[in-house]
Amino acid sequence: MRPPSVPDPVRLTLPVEATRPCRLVTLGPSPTLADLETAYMARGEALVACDAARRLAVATLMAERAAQAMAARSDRQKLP
Amino acid sequence: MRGLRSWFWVAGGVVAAGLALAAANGLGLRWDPFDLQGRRLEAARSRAALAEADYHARRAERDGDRIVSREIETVRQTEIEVGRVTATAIQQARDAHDADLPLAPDRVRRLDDHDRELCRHAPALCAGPGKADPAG
Repeated sequence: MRPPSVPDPVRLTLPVEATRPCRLVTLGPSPTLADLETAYMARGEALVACDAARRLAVATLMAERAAQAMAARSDRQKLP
Repeated sequence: MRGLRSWFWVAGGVVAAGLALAAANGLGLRWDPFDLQGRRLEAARSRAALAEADYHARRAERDGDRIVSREIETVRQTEIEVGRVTATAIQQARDAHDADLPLAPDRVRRLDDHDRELCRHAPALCAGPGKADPAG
């Protein structure tokens, strides 16, 4: 078998926290005023979690691109 | 006697050829008609270049993983803090004097209709009824 002529590409693993789906909290049957208030707050909490997951996914992508650029730069610098 | 003499010439020829090769080698002359040494050198250079490129790639990956790890820690801290604040606020809502006051039916209908519409557009988002209280 011929050895590979290029190294494995730079890849970062997407964290499980970034893959969690967002959620929309809804009211149950016969809701009370407290249920409404609770759902309102829970939706806010879910929105923050969803945004954090989105930011983490973007940060992972950006870090991967930066790592790929860094590896390519290092490769170019070693050439005569 | 004649056979011995011919062996003497053969041995002498071999020794002379060996000496000539050693002398040529000492002078930097190489007998390599298929350029085997050059090919070996080229293969070794390719392997070295690949190893170096792989080293750079794996090092860049480790740097990227460190950045992502920091981001994960930030996310976890955010979730913990937001969860704590939300649980406290929800408890206060449950303890309020008018907590058990039922919502007006037309208000419930408006809210349900709107939620149903949102869920229709993004079914994966909907936690379903009865999941409004993450604090239990």
